[in-house]
Amino acid sequence: MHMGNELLTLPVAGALFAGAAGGLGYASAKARKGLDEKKVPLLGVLGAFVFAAQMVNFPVLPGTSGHFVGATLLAVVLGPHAAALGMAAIVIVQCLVFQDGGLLALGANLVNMALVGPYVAHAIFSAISGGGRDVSRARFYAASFLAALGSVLAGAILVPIEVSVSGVSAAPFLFFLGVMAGVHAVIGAAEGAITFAVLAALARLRPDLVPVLRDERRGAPLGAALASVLAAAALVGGFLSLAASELPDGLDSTLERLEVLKPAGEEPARSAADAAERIGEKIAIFPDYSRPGGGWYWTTVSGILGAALVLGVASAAARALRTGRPRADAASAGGRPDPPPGPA
Amino acid sequence: MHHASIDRYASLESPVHRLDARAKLVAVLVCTAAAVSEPRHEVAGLLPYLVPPAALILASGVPVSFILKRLLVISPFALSVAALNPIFETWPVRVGLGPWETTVRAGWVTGGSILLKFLVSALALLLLATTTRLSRLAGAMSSLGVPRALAMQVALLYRFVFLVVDEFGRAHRAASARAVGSKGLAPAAAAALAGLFARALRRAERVTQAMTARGFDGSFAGASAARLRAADVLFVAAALALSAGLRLRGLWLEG
Repeated sequence: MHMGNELLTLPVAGALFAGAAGGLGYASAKARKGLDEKKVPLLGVLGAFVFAAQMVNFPVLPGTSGHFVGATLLAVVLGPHAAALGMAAIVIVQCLVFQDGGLLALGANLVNMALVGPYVAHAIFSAISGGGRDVSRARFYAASFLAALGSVLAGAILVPIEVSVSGVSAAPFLFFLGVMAGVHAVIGAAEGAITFAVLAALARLRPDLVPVLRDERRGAPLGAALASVLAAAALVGGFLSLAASELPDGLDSTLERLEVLKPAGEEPARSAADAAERIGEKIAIFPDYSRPGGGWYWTTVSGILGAALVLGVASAAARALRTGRPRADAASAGGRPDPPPGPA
Repeated sequence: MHHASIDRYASLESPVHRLDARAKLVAVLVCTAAAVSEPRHEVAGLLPYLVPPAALILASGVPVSFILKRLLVISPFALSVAALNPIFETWPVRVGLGPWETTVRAGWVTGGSILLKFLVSALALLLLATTTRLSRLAGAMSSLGVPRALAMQVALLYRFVFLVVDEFGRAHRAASARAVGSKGLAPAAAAALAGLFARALRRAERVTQAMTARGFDGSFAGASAARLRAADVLFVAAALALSAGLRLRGLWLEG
């Protein structure tokens, strides 16, 4: 969800830079109080861990891929202020070394990923887990899953807002919002599952860092996992159908273009277009893909079905493509054997 | 993993590499801001902005093939958003190139403008990234007003990412050595991730102790500001003048 320079105007980019500066100034002042000055290296190494984990991409839709974001993990282990600093360092290094997002858009990316992510994640996690040390497994699952999903979605929703305030892109706000939120509901659900699994394992390894689980059974609670997958699928379908409702239909836009292109004097073309539209209204069973009188209900159902279909095709395609695909970055994690050790 | 695989060209020798990190950071920011502030239908006026970063990259000796590969890797977001404009802005506009004139969808013009703005800012950022070491950039950020705690995080993150990536690689190799050819099971992968996290944490605690033992008190020694040379000042002045000139020319042509 890295924002590019090209979609922002100067005032919007500047305002977001100012917001990021203020927020990070606050976070570093707070983190310094909470975190012993000498513990700064701790945050550096954990930031490096999240950075390395982010290099492993998983495909979401053809052409797009998500990666582990890690804001929730850092926020639960280190608290929101230190997590914001750690995420900010990650976003800055990604910008300066991998050119993810532009230099001018750095303010926007810092707000979306380094500030909103950790603070939203921490708020949701501590609201659900209650901040206690002895949490039931279902509640722990709900807390980590919803914290991760909520923080990813909150950051993703800010992108279309910032873009449409800038007004550089022609895509309607609701379309952009639907696509971004739909895609990131998938990413957020995967993030939620990974975050829960890592936190649950970490609760066994380092109970001093994570609220302790009450029972020692392993794996996610089945009912809760199923409910969260269904909820995420409904979110995806809802958001994508919102986007689809904004997309101009192929025929409609062709007619619109004909109307605009013809000089005002030529009536026949215009009336032909009108006639086509009238005929279209009569013969279409689901004009604009929704049953007359059915309202949003049918749009949402068709959206969910379409999203499920797209996800199925995409994951099948991704599985087929994965064999032998070259890595995008030279620095991708794992897989490549180290050079043989030289004389030390 | 050798750290040179992340920023392998930053340690080359060239006049561009020798420029001060602060000077380059400011110049890239100014150039990007000027290009981005061009109106959303500007196409031809954006082309001159491509010349200075492209020329400096050629002068720096960084391989052009590497730059092109990076551009390809980071372009999908800009490409897909630019491709939306022709879908939503369907009314026709007249465009002219010398004696030729034709009518196209307005979206092609504004979409092309988005792509050119992406190219300008990506080239400028690539110039900065491939000719400046990240430790220098962290120092530059600190002396340009970024909170010290954050600049230190950037430097430390960069210092440790190689070690952690190596640990990921070792865990991956160990796993594949024990389970030949099988796709990783999700629960096992999550447990491995948690194990790696705990291991990174232990390493962090050891590093903290070692740094404290050597007298680390939270101050940032790497940020000692070198003096700006005449070449650095000249470079920033040229970047400012060029960006302002290009932008004012656009404003003047608009009337």
